Amino acid sequence: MTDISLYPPEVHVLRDLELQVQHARGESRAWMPVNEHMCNAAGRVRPGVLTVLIDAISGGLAASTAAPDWIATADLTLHVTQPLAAPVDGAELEAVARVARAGRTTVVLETAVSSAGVPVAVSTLTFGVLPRREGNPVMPVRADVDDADTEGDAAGQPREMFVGAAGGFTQNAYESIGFVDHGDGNVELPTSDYIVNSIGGVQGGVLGALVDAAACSALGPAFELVDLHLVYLALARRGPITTSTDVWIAGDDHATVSVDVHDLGVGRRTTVATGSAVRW
Amino acid sequence: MVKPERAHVNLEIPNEEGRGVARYLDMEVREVTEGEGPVRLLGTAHPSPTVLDESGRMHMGVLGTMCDAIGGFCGGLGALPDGWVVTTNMMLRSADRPVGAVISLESEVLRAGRTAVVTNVHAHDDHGFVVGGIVRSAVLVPEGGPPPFARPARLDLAGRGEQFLPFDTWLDARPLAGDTEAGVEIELRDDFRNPWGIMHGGVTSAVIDAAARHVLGNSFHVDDVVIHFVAPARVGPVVAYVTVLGTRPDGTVVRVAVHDRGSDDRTVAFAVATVSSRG
Repeated sequence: MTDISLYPPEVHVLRDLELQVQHARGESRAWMPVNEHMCNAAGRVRPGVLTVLIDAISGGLAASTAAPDWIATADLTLHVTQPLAAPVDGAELEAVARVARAGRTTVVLETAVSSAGVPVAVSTLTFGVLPRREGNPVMPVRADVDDADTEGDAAGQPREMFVGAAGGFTQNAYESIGFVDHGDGNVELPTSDYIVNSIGGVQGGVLGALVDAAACSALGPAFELVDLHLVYLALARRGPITTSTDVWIAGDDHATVSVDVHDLGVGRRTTVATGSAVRW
Repeated sequence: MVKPERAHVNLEIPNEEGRGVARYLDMEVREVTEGEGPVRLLGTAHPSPTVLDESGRMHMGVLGTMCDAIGGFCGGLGALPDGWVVTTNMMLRSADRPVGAVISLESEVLRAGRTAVVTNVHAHDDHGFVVGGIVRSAVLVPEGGPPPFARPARLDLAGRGEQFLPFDTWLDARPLAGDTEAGVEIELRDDFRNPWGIMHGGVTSAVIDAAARHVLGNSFHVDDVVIHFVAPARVGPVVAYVTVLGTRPDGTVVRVAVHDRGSDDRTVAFAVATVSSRG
């Protein structure tokens, strides 16, 4: 079996997030420093950066919860509750993931994101539980996992680096990921080791960023995505990965879109999503 | 996982008196699956005055019931012959506007796995998009096998618009009294139960919708909702607590937690919804 310390690769989007984390049974916390490369032209944190953060911290908690089995993200929703202004003076965004239901075939989590103590977004996630197979990562054994006193309270645990940091984003995060906007909601994502997840597909949060990029492409820069529903149907593995976008509602101050993500390399739809956008 | 107690279920009328939530839908669905392709359904619904508000809008409670009905039925057909399904979560958006006299419905299986089926739902009228999203279901294996259906399958809920009580009156959601939290409460009546004897997913969506509108105002409209069904509601009363998470230009984001007081107050569902202030 593969040790999780071998994942992610040396150059990877999760390293660029520079996350610090705390874990307990039933709860994980993450802190993410924000720089201008994670923000849009208006200075607000891109929703897709949040989905990468949320999928990363929530996936770790779900994997711990399902152990010794493994997990895959089945769906992810995001509701932005406040404008995602970048924290000032080096402050961080904090994400707290909690287990809402742990069943035989699924694990359901809620993850809340706050900035300087102010809630800014909430996410729900469903993870499918997969029978352990050779090659699945082994979750590191943490002293707190078997300590009943720490259940549901990660705050008392020490912070640790989620993965080795690589210095953070040094260019626009979406350019780092590699999105190519062809217009009208058609965005292309070449596959690379930079965005791979632990089972060889594109990281689920990166697909959230792709949907955000597609929504922006279809609606124009005046709109920002605030509600997002993502459902993962199959791994996006081979590439190129592309989007097709339908605008369901086009209002003056709000809009609703539907985005399908296709893996052209295998000729299948891998992800379906809907999103709502507003002018702040 | 909830297992049905009966092998043969009546999906049209979820209780012996035919007063269930499905009766409000006045809806017909037919299977149009092509060959070995994914299960696909088309349907129509005719909203009666009892499911419209004073502005002619359908609220998410009824829309969620409609989506649960067609999306769940589609998922169930996708699970055959191995099993049937129960809804585990719904992710829906709707338009905040009056709806037309006829709503066209589509649903298709997007993924049919061993333990879960994912279907999409899309509904429109003459003016365009009405409601759409995803219904995710867990596959279960009923004792005695899944319900028998002749294929191509049909679901006939037509002609049941004779339910004269307005939907909100029928639901009878009462504001919480004496609680420190805001929300509503309903009794778990027999006509709120599905064929498995637990609270119908449509009623769950209705009580979530009612709770959100109770707290924010009845003219408001749930534009977006994500519902996770985490346990069956069996006893009641069923309580929906609302927490306001934030306010945006397009509305207010709330979290709604649904509890079954008679089952040790356990959480049976939770939802995050965006409630429009444009109405």
